[in-house]
Amino acid sequence: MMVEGRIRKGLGLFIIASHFGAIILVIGLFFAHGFLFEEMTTTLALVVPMFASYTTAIVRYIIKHRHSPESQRTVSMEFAFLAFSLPSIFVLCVFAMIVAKALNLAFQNFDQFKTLLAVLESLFGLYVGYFITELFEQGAKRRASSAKTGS
Amino acid sequence: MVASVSGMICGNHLGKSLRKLLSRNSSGESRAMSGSNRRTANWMFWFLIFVSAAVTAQQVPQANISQDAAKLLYGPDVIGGYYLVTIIPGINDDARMRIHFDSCRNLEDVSPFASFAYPAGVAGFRYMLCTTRSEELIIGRGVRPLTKADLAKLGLQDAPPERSSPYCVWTPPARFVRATVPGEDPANDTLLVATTINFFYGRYGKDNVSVESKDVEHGHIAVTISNLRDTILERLGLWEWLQVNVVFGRRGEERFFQMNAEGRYASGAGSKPPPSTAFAGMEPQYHEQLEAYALRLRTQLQDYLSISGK
Repeated sequence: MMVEGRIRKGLGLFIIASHFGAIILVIGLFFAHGFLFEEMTTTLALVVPMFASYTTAIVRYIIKHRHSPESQRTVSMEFAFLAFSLPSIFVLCVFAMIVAKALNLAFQNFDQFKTLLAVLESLFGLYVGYFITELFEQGAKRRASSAKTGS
Repeated sequence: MVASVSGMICGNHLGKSLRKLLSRNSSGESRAMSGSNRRTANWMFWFLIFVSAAVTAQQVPQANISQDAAKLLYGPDVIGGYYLVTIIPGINDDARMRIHFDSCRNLEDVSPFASFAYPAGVAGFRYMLCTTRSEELIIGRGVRPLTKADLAKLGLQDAPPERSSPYCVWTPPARFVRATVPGEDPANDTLLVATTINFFYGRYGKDNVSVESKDVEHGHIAVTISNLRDTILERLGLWEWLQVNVVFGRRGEERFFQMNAEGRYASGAGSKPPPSTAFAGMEPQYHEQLEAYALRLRTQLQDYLSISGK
């Protein structure tokens, strides 16, 4: 059993760090000649919205609940495992693809890279989205309603 | 096609107006159309669409084939010389290739705008497959889009348009003085071609140069140079790929060659070169750098050929 508040905090920070990490990685690889300028902007245009929807929900939650204590409710191990593993695999795949493209380790051309990024987003986006929604949007609603009942 | 569509749209508008007109009485008020009126309106509507489409289709300019072109396409006794086939990116295969029917009797007649040339392998190097920088060259020059049947007659069906880039640079003809090497047949370019290949091997390393085609009889060599970095586009850190065509010519005793260079580039941070499909053409973005590099290369080859012949 794990505490929901701790999972929320860990996952939130992980997603935000991945979001900005991906941006820095792409820009850094552009300066290392791993991407052309057009490739760099296209990659950012693909990667940033992938994370932005999650990051927005997380940041909104953190700002809204900056004064309230975290929930001490426990969640099942399966939930905790999937909540971390799916986003981790997703982030790992995105980072690996970016590096592979920049070092010419995979992909015949930039179009293949773009297509695979889009496929990856479709594969993982739904599942990661479920966890983010449940933890940071539904969770926020539950906290608000329980705070109301408590008061 | 566009004209036909616009004709259909025009016809559509006319038909709609007609319907509206028929559905109004003399005082301008709407009334329900009778069955026969509706049928008449529908017939007129479709008739107008058909007529306007037919009229606009007729207005598409059809260029005539020149005499040379007719010979080239249909006559068995095609005279020698160079012909330019221009490849224009288009919507479909039929529109992509056009033939530039000006016959070129010698190398200097080859249009400097033609950017990439290689022997098409038709009836022994009488044609050069070229691409142009723009469509300007072909306007009003007696050209028409080639069909697949034309290409088959020319033996070009296996030359996909993708093989040649629409953009690259030609250098001006470079004269060189080459003393006859003992045992060398002045009418035969075998040694000259071998010397040129050696020049590229020495300049770029044997592993990086591949000879794409070698036509000793007609003095033409195409080499591809890969694994270049920061050579043509200095200080950009990009991988580069270069295809060079060298065509030798002869005017009396004087020998000269003309060279064209097609450059491509790709990104890549590591030491592994990108696959060939990842490269993009340098033109028009890096035209100046490519042209400057081609001119430098031309001078080096000119010197090399002159020295090695002495």
